[in-house]
Amino acid sequence: MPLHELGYRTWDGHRSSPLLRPLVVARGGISLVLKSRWLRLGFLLAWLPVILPTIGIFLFEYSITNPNLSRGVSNIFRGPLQRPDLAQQVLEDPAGARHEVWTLFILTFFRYPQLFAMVCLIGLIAPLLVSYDLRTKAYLMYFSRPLSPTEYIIGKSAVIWFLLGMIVTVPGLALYFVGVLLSPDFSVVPETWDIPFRILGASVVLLVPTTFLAIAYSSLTSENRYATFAWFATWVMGFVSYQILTFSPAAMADRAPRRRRRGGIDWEEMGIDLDRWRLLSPYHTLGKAEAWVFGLDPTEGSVIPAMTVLIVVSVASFWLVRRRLIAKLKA
Amino acid sequence: MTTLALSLDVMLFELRRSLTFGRMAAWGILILFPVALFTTLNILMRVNMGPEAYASPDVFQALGVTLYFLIPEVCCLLGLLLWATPAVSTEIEGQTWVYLALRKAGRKSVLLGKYLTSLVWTFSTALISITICCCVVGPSVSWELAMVLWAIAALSCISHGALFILIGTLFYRRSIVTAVLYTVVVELGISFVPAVINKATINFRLRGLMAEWMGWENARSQFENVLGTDPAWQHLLALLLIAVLCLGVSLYRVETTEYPTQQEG
Amino acid sequence: MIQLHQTTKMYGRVVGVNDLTINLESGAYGLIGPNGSGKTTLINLLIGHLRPTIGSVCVFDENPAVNRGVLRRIGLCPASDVLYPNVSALEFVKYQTRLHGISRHQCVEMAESALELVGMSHAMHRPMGTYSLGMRQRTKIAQAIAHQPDLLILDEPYNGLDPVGRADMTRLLQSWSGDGRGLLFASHVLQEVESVTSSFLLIHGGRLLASGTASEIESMVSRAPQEIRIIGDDSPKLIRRLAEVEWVNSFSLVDERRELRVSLRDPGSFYQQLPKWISEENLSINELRSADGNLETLFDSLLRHHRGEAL
Repeated sequence: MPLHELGYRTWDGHRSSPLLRPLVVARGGISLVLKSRWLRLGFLLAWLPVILPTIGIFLFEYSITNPNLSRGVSNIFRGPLQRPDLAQQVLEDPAGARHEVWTLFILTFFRYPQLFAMVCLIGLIAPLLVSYDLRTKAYLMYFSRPLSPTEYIIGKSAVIWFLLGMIVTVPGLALYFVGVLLSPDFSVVPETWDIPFRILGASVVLLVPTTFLAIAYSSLTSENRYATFAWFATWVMGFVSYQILTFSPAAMADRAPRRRRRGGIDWEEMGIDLDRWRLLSPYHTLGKAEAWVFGLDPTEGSVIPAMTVLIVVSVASFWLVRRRLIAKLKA
Repeated sequence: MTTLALSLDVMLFELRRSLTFGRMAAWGILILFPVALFTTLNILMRVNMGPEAYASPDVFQALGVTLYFLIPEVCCLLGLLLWATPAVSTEIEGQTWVYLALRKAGRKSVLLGKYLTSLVWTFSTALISITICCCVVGPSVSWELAMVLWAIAALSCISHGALFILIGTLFYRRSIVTAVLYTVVVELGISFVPAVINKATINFRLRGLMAEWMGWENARSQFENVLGTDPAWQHLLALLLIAVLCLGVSLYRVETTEYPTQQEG
Repeated sequence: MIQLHQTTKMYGRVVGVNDLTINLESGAYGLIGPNGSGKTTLINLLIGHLRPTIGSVCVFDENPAVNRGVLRRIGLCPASDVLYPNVSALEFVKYQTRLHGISRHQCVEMAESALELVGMSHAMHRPMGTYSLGMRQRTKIAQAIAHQPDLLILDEPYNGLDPVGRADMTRLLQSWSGDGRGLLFASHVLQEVESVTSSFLLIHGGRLLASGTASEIESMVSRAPQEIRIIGDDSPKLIRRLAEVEWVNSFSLVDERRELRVSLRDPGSFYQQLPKWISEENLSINELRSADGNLETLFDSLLRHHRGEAL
């Protein structure tokens, strides 16, 4: 009886570049998630907040040529944006304040509506990305092809990067370019040319650690509800921890203001260290790093711990997913 | 044979089958989180203000508010988010809904049983963490605060659980995300709006009960729109109505909805 | 036992089942149709999980979507797998039986005897996550029969069973229908159903194409147009004969003139004539292939019949 060699053999066929292989995984994932009616609605809603900073930049630029508006515009910085110093500068030297005004509007857009939209959208998509493959054993289909775990992880992450890019980076860049178009002339470009690069930098800071963390949660369970719960619990618990540990001792010691005052509150002047517990909260850690990227870091503390935590979270999450996949394949 | 007896059996079945590592880990985290946070806060307080930190009524009140926010609001909501919201969706995802749907009393008993299961899991975390937190602070905490917090946690579980079960039956595909959005917008946003609308939220009622039962009259007069001035029976009635209404609609929904069975052919 | 009157079920704009009218007396029936033909939709209508968009569904003279009490008389073994990995078969079957409102004590007895009947007694205390596909299939059957229903509905019950398991399952179902209890058995493999019952319902595209016994369906199919393949060195010599008769639609010679494919309007006449032609001309024919046992061809033939292409 002849013996046939049926063991593993190397792939002899032509393979695409390693950089392009994750695209195959990403393309399938993107087309699948875009079929969801919920997600398409989410996309639409996620773009709505861009209207507010656009109006803000337009009003600011208009106020330079129409000084009657200056006081109203400066009130935006004194009140909602809590920057009385910038409000004063807008009144005294609006052209000199331009760069900071623009970045502040864009940072605010990144920091509040888009971060919230990001948390919700990742909560919608990411928990299923790996856990569903593990539950249905679809990962075997991927790895029966010449695809490495790293390429698989990058491909899956790229699904989220694409979607988040569409709701964070693209509207951020669109906001900048609309800002240029709403300005009196193109002289604003030499003053603000670095902002698109800062938007890209802030996008990387926002997207990479959050995506890898969400994918890591997804890889730890075949029941996506645990991954979804872990994702939201991370944000909620982190936020609550930061708020309680930072502000409660001051409130109990009667150092915090009893009622909200008009304008910003200088917490640090009141003896509250805003950076002390920051690393407990993903929201506040990301906020520090993003503000630093935009050159608007409001607190005294160094950005290095925040950046280190984000890098450690990214690397550890990536390693965890890879390890889970390899363990599954070996089982 | 009553639906309630069957629901209790469903609860026992669910409790037995849910003793998994994942669930126990989540249960442990929900207990440890407030305890760890509160212990750290307690240390900070004692370092900053000395051993008599809680002697002042204002500080004691702030302590109560922190515990209330941390356990009946945050931890109970997180627990229910995990255990009540996906009651139907896990069965649909696991392709087991069809087995339950074809039983004579399957749908109602299973939903009620899962509701009771989520209450047991969540309330047990709240009960344990409140007890440990009170022990951490020591004799400065009166039994009154502990008992009020237990009662508030129980009411939070009953009413929020019913609400999340309703969300789970209405939006079974994206139940957890929908519940998070609802909580952020309504229970954490609208409940602080100084208008009639906040009276329809569960958190407003729970806050009102907390202030009423603890006798924080000063706070109630200062933050009337946030804590309300309604008597306790009105808050209790409102919470009961919310729970009954949510459960009633959920039961109707689960009886009449053609949930997908993920079968082909 | 089952009455469907002009029943249609729509999923949005997709038709699940289309204008079904069936009246089935108590007995065993095979529900045959390819994947996506509407078998599971029909089953879901029968257990009241789905409500018909148009028409009515009655099982034991009750509408199962309205009067859930009738579900006590129905047992279903769905096609989907059981996914409670850390629950034992005994716990699972007991739980499912309990949900019918049967007392706790009786549930244990019923669950144990059902598991014994399907040959799962030895493993019924083990968590289901450790079971093979065949064991899970047996557990599914056990939960369907544990409450002793009058009608047992099975959706692809042979999935995952090895040959021994299949034989056991066939014996179980034969005994079930032999006791005079109702059985509806959905499958897309004709031979599986044939081993249990001779009454068929053939469903395709949500429509009931045919119903009756195996011989009735065979006779209907034999009158429907069919394609026959005649293989052998002398097969081209049949061309002259085939060209002379009027019940041949077309023919073609393929595979280096060794295979003759004939499209027939009246297969019955062909089968009558062919032996005569072969013996008269002393032809060498090695093989004759027809639609027998091939479900696709069977349904193709029935569809042609419905389109009025049959004689």
